[in-house]
Amino acid sequence: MKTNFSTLTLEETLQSSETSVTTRVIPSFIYASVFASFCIAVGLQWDISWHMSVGRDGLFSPPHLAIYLGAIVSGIFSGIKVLKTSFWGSLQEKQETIKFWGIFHGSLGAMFCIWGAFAMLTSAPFDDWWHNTYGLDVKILSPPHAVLGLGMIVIQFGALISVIAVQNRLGNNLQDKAKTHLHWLYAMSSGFLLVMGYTFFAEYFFLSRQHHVLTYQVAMAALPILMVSVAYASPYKWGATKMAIVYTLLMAGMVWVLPLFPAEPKLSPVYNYITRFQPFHFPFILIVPAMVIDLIISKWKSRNKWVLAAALSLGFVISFVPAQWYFAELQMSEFGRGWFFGRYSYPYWANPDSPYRYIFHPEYISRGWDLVKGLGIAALIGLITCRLGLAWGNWMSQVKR
Amino acid sequence: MIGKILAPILILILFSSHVGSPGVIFEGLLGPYRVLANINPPDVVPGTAVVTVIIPETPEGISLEARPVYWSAGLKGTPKADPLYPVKGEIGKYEGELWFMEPGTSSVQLMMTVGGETFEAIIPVMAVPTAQKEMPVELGIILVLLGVLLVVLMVTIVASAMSDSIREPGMERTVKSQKRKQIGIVVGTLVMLLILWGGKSWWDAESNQYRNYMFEPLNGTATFESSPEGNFLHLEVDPLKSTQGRVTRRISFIVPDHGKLMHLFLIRKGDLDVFAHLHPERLDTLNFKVKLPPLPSGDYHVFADITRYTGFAETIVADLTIPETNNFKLASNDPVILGRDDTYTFSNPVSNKLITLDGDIMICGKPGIKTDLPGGYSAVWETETGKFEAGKLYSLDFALFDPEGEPASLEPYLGMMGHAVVLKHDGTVYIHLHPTGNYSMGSQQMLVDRFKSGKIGFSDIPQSLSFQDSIDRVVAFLDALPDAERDSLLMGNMVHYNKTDPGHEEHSMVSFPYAFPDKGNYRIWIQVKIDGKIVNGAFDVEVE
Repeated sequence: MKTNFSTLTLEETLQSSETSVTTRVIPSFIYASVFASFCIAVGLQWDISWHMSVGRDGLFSPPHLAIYLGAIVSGIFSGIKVLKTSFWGSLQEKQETIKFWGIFHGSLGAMFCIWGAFAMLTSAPFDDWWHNTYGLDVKILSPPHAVLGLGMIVIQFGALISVIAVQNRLGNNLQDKAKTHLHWLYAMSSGFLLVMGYTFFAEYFFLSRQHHVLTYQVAMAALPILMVSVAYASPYKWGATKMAIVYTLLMAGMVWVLPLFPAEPKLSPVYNYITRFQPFHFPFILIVPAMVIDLIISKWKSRNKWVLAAALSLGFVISFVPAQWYFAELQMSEFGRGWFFGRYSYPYWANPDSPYRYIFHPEYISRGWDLVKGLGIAALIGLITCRLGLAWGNWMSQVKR
Repeated sequence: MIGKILAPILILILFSSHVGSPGVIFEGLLGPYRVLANINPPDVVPGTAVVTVIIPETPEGISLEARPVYWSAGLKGTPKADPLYPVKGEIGKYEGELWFMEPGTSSVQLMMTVGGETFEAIIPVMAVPTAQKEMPVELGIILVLLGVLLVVLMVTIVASAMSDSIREPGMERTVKSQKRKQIGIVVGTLVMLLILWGGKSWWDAESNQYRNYMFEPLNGTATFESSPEGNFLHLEVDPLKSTQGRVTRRISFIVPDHGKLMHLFLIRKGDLDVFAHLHPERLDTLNFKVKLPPLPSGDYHVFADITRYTGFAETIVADLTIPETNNFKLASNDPVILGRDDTYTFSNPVSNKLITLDGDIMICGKPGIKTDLPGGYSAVWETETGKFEAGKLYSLDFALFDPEGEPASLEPYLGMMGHAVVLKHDGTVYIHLHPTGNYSMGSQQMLVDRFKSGKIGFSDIPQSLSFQDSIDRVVAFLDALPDAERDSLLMGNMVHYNKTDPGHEEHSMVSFPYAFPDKGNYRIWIQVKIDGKIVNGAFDVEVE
């Protein structure tokens, strides 16, 4: 905690001496990075829907183009930014960046974005070879898809780091309009990242599994790192809640918009004769635990981090599990069948008469002691991931380059 | 896809309903036109098949489409067809790509529209992964370079994140931040190594999983059994080990193809001078038995073709050794009475060494040369050039003549105007051909019936045991019928086309469409029925 304190003091002294130069607008590459992150989040949801509805795709399918647009925008903007600063930048610009490999000057966010773009580039020929060798994988996770996914998530993370670094460096010296922009850029870049974090583990998050502890254990392993770190590093109130709102709007928006468009399966065999795009998941009700996280952090931010992590983990489990449990029940019920939750959505290659389509899968229902024990394990997992999230957040709150 | 990366392919030698001959060839009438189709199925599933169609009459104003129809999904569960486009510079040739997404029995539904009318055919395709490919070196180098860049950059990022990123702008590096950077390099390197190691294990696991999922042909154990009633071949089929296709490839689902549960071919290894086409009887699900003709001792290839209710056709591969002493015993015995459709023949050895076989030895013909066959018949393999190239689709045309030298009148043999077996000298290619192509007609029938029924999925399929019993009754009924009645039953829904070749009578010729899969020496046995007798002929050809 002491380090944090001293950093804050230092920042103030520095800012007072530099007031003349820091009243600038937000660099355009920050907007570009957040836009790239948006393209990737939307592209991914769209691509999953495409695979559920149309099936056949190629290198240049529309959802792929959205994802590539994200990679290209972030790669090019970050790349140009790094080259410009390295070879044509002023001394002050260079002093605000990180020097690497002896010649380059770049911000950490830009370095992340460049890495992500290269990882995505690498995954393309790797994935193509993989499909020709082991067959086109319809599953989300395969080694080349992991490289691609890592690239996407790193770009999104780079966008978040870019925003937070500007915030940390110039936050208080920005004009009001720019401040508001930065505020929303932070909410958006973190929300888009959360969409990606959710999607990576979505195999465990199917509605029919949401009455089983594994869903919550995986959620506790994956989500608190992102949500706690963002809340902790957030210079604004309700950082995690805004992140969860962006996540919810984007995922729910895809559920509402995609089925407006016609789609026709283009691969055999077809068991479910659909005519519209089948959307992916309706989002988790993460707004509930996000509010709890924000409240706990705003109250006990300076407490011992392990104690704080324990409180966060417990708060997360206690608020999220019942909320999602009954939310899932609502979605399963007759009330949940309409367009709102996208419950009709079912891939063309699945049997629409499956007995498990509208029930919680009997193999994935936890009860009694199993449930209590399982949630205890989830809370323990959460303790570790919340603690990691705090460390991560603490680091993010210090990033300035 | 970024073009197709041409990877060195290690194709499994044994494949599906054929051995070493993955392409499916079809010949038939679509409306007014004779159509030849060659389907190159995917060697990796999901993957794409290339469909090539040749219409020798090169009509204009037609359009061709094709789509992959799965036995399990039916016509309704199949997306709109894709057009086949004319190949530039080759009139009458059309080509297209089709996606096969699941392993199992499938088909290509070929549709031709002529003047507003649409004609179609169902061609069976066994969609199974058969190839394990390796990464081309160039791609490997590119990926390694990109990988190194990614690792180095990520280590840089981790080190910078731990030190430089949290330094105030304008401040110089301190000893402390320098130290943090070094720790960052170590941490980043360790993390990246861990990720690489994890990725490698994952990749290996996926690769192993794929290997387990690859198609494995059915093998069997063939044994020679001698008893007072004669000599028998006993074939015991190995139970299916693969977890793939547990339902689709169930052995109890065997159905008759051309009225027979199993078409078993025996060919003496090495010299390929002894050939027999037999039809074993089913003892139980895995055991089959058939009376052997008087065959000389030696090691034999055993190829047994079967088709199932689920349409999945394949060849069971086994080896048979006929012991030395047997030959003499047989020579002195009374003639062996075989099943009425069973047949065997001797021809000259491929090595052209001295012939020591009893019985009629037939000298194998060459393309274009009239060859004498046993029983005074003769045959000519008619070809324009006498040359054959691997991978190219040909119609192998044979003209048959009676002892008077007049065009012979062919009768149906097992419901077809002829059968042919192609074997590469080294045994790596084996195929059973019909005038309609090299696919299993039983499989085609199963697919067509299934599609007509409108049923989908695997939930309404029959019970193994009762199904097997009912099939045994059908086979017994067919076996008890006189030839003419049985042939009319078996040929019930076949389409005959008249070739407008003035040189031959309608049924004095038999043609088999085929594309030799690779270069080398092949022997082809043709089997036709003339004057109620099964007449065998054998031909040798070198494919370039």
